[in-house]
Amino acid sequence: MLKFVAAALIGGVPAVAFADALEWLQRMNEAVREATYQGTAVYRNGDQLETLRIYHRFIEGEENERMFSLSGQPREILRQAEQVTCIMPDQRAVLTDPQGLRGLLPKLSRAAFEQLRSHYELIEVAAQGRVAGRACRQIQVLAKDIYRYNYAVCLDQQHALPLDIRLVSDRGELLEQVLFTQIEFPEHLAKEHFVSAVDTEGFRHISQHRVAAGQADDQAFTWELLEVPAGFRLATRERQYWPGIESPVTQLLYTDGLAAVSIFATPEQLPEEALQGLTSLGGVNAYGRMTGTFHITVVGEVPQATVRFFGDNLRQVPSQPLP
Amino acid sequence: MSEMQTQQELISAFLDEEMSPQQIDELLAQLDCEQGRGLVCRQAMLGTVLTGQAKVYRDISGAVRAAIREEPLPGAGNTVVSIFAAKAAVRSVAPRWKVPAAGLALAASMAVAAIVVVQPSSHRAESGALLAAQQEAPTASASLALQPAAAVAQVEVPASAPVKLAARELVIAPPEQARPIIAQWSSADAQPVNLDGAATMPVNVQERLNSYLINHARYGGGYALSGSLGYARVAASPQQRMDEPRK
Repeated sequence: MLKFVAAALIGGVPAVAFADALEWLQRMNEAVREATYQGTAVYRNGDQLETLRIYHRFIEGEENERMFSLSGQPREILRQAEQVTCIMPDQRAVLTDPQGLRGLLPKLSRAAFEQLRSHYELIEVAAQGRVAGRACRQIQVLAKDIYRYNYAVCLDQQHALPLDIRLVSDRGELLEQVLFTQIEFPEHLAKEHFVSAVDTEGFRHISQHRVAAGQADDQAFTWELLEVPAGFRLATRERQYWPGIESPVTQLLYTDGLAAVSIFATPEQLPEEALQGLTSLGGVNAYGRMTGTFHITVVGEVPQATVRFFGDNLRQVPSQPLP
Repeated sequence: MSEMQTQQELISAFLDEEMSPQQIDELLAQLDCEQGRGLVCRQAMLGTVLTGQAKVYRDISGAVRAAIREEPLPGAGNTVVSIFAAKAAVRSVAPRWKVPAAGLALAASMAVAAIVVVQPSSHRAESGALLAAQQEAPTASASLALQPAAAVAQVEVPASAPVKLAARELVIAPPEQARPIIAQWSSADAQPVNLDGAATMPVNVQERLNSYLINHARYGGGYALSGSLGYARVAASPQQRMDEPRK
């Protein structure tokens, strides 16, 4: 019945099999890493539009990427392999992160592909789309439950690069979107395209560091979830010292392969700095509450019900003694 | 005839645009749309929207809104419902951010602070109103079907006249009026708002949220399809001058 309805209502536009859609997403996964391209994209959040210029290349086994804003105050992000540098001229600050943001376009793990079927309906729309003057293949990713959002992407017919990515709520609201308005795929891009033109002399240089093994001061316990929404698994657990916070901040990242949720736990947080309840930014929802002397905040591109689920199920448990 | 067969026939009639508004209401009711959480209902609506059947979408948009208007999010209060239920509001410029002194996380928060400001709770109402208005308007491009870039670039928003929706009146600020700075944290049920509609969420809370947002983007982008959106959030530029960093 469910399949019938979904297929029927998608029905006017023929859809093809899950496997074909999956194959397109796998092609996308390679393209976002290995394609060389330059283009202009629009980031849309509600009624806000921002324009970004992007250069990307894959050379000698490394990704290079440069992205900067074309509207408003300048922002620039450079990525060479894993190192990311954010230049903020208005703040006269340079942020360097040896393991920074993972790039403009998404890269999905093999596990993500394998899990997709359980929690999402993958649909490739047979009708071709067109974005930035290029033919593209439309793929829709429909959540099967209330714990995740839906996605719609249009992949370049030739290169499989996503030209349009949309985050859609369960009510059909367009929450966020990245859309190329112009894109080229040259064989080579000169290295000059990956060098910032901003003079950063005199800027503050800022970095963040992880908690080294044995450096932790509150390892008598760890954080665990009593229950996790189906399909979500723990992907990373980090403890870092953040400037301005004396104790390390614990971050747990859960993902179902497409959606990601971060849980932050901080001790000794002042009441006036603590989010209590729900808030949102575009497609991102956040939920905060106190548990004992810790404040926890859950952030993710998932519905409010999901961040709340994570937040309400987080508990401290004693650490296992080392053998 | 079984219930399933009946529903299938109703859906066929719906696709053929042979149903009256009342019949559409009945179909949505059968699909458990009153609760808004039925998988059938969601997939039905989303399937219609995502595949770009804009005409059909417009036809059912009123019924869908009516069906889900009062739906509470599971465990989340009525925050999202407010996009339909909130009273009319005109945007206002939010208070400026105070930016922390130094450090990656806080500097990172600057990057995001650029896109995050104190947000009146009416923001979602406005966004919802805008989307709803776009859905209602014949020239609207709020359909979530993938469309050419030009279609998005040509969003036609009623700029100066109030937009009337069924039983509710919503005001959208004309371009010359102050518009929201950029993407904003909305004060859902987290914080109260004052009489001006301005959120009272403390600046420190927002600063901390920005730090969380960028750190979430750092690690989540590699896993999540929506990670790219997080990256764009960071790169998107502010229209607002921020206060001097705190010492």
